[in-house]
Amino acid sequence: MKKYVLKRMGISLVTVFVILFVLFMLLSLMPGSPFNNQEKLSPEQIQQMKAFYGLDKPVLERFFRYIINMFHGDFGVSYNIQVNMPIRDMVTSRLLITLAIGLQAGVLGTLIGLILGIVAALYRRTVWDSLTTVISVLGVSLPSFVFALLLSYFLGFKYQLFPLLYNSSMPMVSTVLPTIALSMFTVASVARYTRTEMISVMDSDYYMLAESKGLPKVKLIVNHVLRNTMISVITVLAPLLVNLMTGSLVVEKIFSVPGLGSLYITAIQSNDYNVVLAISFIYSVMFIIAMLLVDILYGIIDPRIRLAKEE
Amino acid sequence: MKTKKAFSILVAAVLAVSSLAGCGTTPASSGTASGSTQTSSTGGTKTLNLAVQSAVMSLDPLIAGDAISMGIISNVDEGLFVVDDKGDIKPGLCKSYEVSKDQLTYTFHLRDGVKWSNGQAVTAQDFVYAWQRNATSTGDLSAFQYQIEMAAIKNYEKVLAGKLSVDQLGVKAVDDKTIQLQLEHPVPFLLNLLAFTPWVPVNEAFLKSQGSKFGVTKDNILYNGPYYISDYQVGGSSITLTKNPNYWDAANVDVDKITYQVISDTQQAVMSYKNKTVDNVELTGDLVSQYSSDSEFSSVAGPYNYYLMFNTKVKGLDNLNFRQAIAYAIDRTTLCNNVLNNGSVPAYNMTMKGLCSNSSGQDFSEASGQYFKYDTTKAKQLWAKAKTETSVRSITITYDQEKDFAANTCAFIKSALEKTLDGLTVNIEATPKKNRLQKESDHNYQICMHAWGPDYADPTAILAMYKSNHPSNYSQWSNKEFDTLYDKANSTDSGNEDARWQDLIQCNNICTEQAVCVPIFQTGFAQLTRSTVSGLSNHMTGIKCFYKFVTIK
Repeated sequence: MKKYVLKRMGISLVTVFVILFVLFMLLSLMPGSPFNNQEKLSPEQIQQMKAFYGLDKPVLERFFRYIINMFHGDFGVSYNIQVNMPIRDMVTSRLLITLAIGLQAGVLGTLIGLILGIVAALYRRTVWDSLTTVISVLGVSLPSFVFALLLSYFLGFKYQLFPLLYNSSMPMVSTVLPTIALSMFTVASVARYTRTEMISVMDSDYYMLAESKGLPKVKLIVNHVLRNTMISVITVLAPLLVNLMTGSLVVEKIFSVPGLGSLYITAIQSNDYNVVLAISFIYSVMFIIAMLLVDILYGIIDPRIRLAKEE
Repeated sequence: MKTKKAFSILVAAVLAVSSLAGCGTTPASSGTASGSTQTSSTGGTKTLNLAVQSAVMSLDPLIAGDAISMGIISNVDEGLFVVDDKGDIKPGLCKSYEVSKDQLTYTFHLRDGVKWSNGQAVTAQDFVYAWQRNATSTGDLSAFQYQIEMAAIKNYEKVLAGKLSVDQLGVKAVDDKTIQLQLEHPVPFLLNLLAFTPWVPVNEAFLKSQGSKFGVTKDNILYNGPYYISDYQVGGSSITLTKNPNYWDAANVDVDKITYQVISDTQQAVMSYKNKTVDNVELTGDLVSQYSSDSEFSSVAGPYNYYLMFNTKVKGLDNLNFRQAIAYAIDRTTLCNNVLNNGSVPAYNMTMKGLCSNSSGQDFSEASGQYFKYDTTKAKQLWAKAKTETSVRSITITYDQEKDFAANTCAFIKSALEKTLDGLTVNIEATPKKNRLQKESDHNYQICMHAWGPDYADPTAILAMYKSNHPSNYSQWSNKEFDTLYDKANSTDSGNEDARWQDLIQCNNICTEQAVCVPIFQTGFAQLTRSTVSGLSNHMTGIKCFYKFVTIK
């Protein structure tokens, strides 16, 4: 297992390097300068600014310098969003907010999704099952901004139960509405997968055998059904969680959350290269860690997978 | 046993979620309260809550290029002059000033006892240092060097070109409280210029102690103005300005606190206004007509003119008849009323209404010629002529994909042109703004939808870009008569208001009539402002509002 994890980590490092390299090359091909007031700057001034930030150097030289600085925790400075602000400071505060909301939405969505999925599977073809199906279809088909707008209008504006906008003086309460809006897709996906998987397990021979042996229902569900169901649920859960934690541009915009999602889009639109690179790096690392965790979790839930890999 | 354990985990998890929800419900009442604590005036503290669309870019007066950053800097660091809510220039840190007869030497006297937030006195040297810094900066600090040029400070050309040392620039500190400014030629709008951000003083020792961090956050600048930044949250997403008790005119500053909250979604901003979280909100698109009958609604002319900018070196567009045919074929009134419907008004020359007026109160744009009013007959005649002179039958209009209204405007223009100008094909191309700007500066475009807003209240703020040698002359248009008149207005005629006025009107008429760019519309600025708030101005040029003139009932 240890060897496997180390090998995966090695591959992950190479993957991150390749991602950064490709991104660096693509960004260097982007038209337009990364500076503000571009329309008021003469070509000489733009050239001076490029020289000031070292953007006049060959792209490979810049890339390797960037990688070396990165190992020292220096991701450069912002060129236009917050001029000369170190990216590390700029991204960290936003990352924490995005992570908090994403994590909350992930936990909330998974728990509610699991409960709904289990109820739907156990009470198949009842009103509970239909209700779960409706919620799942709505959650999957309606984009999160629709929920965000509804929540914002009714709970934020009309009844004023929660702050309409993110308020840094009360960060916890401010994240309730974005969390609920973001969790809807997870609720729906998890409920759908849980229900389908549970039903297929409950139709299997080993379940019927265990049932005919007279095992108590609760034990049967927890030990046999849920454990097998979780394998496929975890497969969909990992990318879902990463998606949540990378922040949602629309939800962040609606609730004015100063998170990473909105910063990423602004950075891409304004050619703020260092911000784009740093956030891409964070996203890649998060995704790779999530996939690694999924593999490890597989091994814990289903020892057969671990054994097969160890062979 | 295992079942028990699993259930206990499940219960714990459910409890965790409930506690999360609990965190929401307990302070929910305080969520409601948040609305009430942020209303304009509570418990003796007068607070003005503003919604802004983007965060602060920089607090360095030479880097800040956006209205929000410049607005904050100019309210926490005062320069020699400020502009009141009526648009009149008022003294800031300047107690009095004298102008020589030839209007080439200005002597400014600073107020007594004005201090930086670190306790040091604000001196004439701080102004001289700030202006010299602007004249000599390179790289990211050079965006406002054109201000030195517009102010025509003595020897500016040689100093900016690096041929003379900055000590030779016509500005000096006579003593701690006296600044002497010498000009190359009279500049009628000088005081207005001096109320702009790049002219605020900078404490040299403090700047040097901060190095590259100067202006990055609230702790990296000094304050001398009516307010100081007391709170600065995540990336400037919310900012609080608090009244500076040591400000020289603190007794006349009515508002105690100003909060800025970044709300990028206009609909959300309006809801925040309605539930009293913010006291002022800018309206765009359909919201303008939706709230136009509201008693707190107001609308003023906005600062931008939108143009169709032609690349006059491109085949087809180098033909005057071709360009003028396009200009006549667009019904701007229908565009503004039915397509934009956001308070925008048709534009019939290069300068915008409300930019500036002469001493008899005549508006420059209105005094200039009004060109290209919708006339399909003229458009068809010109198009018929153009067709005999050029074989080009297809054009491409490029616009910024970030602007929703630009897509609708271009679709309207395409339809109008193809309907009126028989045989013409109009392609429209959406591209990111950065790309459009690059295309313009590379002259790699045919027609761009381009917006231009003035930085100071003088026609040259707009007309300069049509000079043959101006770096922003992306049309590549060149006209000797225009250049001569423009130079005359800024040299021999600069001390004679009437002559200068006529020179610039002629300049405006020439470049409009030549259809270098076709003016389409002037943006409107519509807003909702709480009825208890007054003096919240929205100046077309320079700083939108100096908050010391705002009052709350």
